[in-house]
Amino acid sequence: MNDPIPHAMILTAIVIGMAVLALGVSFAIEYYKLTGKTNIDEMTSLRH
Amino acid sequence: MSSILFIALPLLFGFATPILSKFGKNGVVFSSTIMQFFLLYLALNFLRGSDSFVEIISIAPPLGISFVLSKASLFFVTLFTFMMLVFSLYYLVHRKTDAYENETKFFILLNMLLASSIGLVLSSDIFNIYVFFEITGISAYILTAYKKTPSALEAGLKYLLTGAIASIFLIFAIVLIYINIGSLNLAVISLSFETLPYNTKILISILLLIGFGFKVEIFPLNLWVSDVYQGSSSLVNALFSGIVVKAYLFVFFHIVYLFLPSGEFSVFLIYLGAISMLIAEIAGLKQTNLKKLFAYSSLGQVALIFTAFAMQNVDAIQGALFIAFAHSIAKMIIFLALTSINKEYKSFDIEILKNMNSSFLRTIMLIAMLSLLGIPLFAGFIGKFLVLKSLAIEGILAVLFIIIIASLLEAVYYFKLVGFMFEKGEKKELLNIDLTQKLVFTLLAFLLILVGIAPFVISNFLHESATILLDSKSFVDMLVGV
Repeated sequence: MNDPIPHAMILTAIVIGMAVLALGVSFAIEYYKLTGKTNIDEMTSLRH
Repeated sequence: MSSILFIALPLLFGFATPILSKFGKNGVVFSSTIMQFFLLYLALNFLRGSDSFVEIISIAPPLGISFVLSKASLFFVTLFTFMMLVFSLYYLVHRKTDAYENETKFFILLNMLLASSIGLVLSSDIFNIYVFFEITGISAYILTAYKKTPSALEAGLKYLLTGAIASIFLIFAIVLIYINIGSLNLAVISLSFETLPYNTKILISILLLIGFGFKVEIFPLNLWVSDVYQGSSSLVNALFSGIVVKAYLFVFFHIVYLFLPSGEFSVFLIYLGAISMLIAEIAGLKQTNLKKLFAYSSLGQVALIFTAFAMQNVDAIQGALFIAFAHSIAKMIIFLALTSINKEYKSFDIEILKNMNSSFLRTIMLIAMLSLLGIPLFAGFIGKFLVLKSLAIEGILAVLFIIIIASLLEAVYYFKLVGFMFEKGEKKELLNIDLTQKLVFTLLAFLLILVGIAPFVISNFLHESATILLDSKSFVDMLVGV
């Protein structure tokens, strides 16, 4: 018999990881639409 | 089972928001506010009881999840519901002229933030803590980027990346704990954590420290904070320093008290907190953007709370709770006031305080700043005094010295702000503040002064909370049921 807890734990972690990744990509897409930039070094709207 | 309502109700309202928004434009806003009123009523009702452990909910023990509402977590639950209620009341007026686009989504996020911060405080199961850690994080990332300007999105991305790194460290710690101990329940882990091999213990502690260190904004993991405060709107900043940080601080130290009751680790944490405070205040000195300046001030105050919690001594923890209370309220006042100022004058530059034309806001902000500085007769003083007193009694004079220097540095820039506010000069047109918002500000300022003049109003309760928070043995007994 397998211990079900690690399965539940890792599945939850994967789901959360996917959600965060999708959110991050959507932020990046919005940022690209506004500024046309994808390079992290060129993200400078906060440096002033 | 009624303490589960603190998590279930905001979640329910969050998910029901699309349906509620069918009942007209105001349906969501008003129903959320009424729900928060109800939660506050429930929390105040619990406050009257005399048991240290108010309610323990275990679903299918020992494998299932469990929530513990003790006097300590009750303090934070009450604080969070109160802060969220105040925020909603302010927003009720703010939205008439400057509403967020797509308010339905905004309220889903607010309710999720409330539910998950309360969940962090209540849950006594380390994997549940991870899940709430992530939900709080995700709602905070979206709230940061909500305005969809380049700077907001950049801040949101920065916050999301640091949060993702933090959660990797946390999940590693949880996996290691489960491999070695075979349980996720905090009480069970606490019983056998001491018996682990030294190296494993150190590794888990460091992973936990880094994972939570990002979220409790401790040096050197706090470099994202000022950018996130600058990029997000000042309304949301009020929630970040009023609710989110406090939830993470509580849960981190709850875990520390359970796993590592004493030893060199806590000495390390004390010095870490003190150094973070000093660095934050030095960085705050040269800021010219009000949001950044108050972000650094938040970092300083949070580091002070961190130091006080790390001392593992009832008086110091009571002081930490006092500072947490005073800081949440004062920062709520300041960021809501900044929102009003920005709405009128469209600027966050420090010079705008010179031209601000509203004696009401000036007075209210002055009260909040004096409380943050820890001037006698304001709530912040009691907390700082208790912390400094217990540092002196314990004989950790180096830390005492660092904290006093940092407080002086804080005083330098706060008095600069006060000087700007009361400078005679050309004033712009009058800043109008609605009556409801005035009532909200007055209530908050009144609480700061009330607790400052008559600390006994809450000091007994806070003392009890501190005792119960530090008493990991009775927590374990309650949960494992020896």
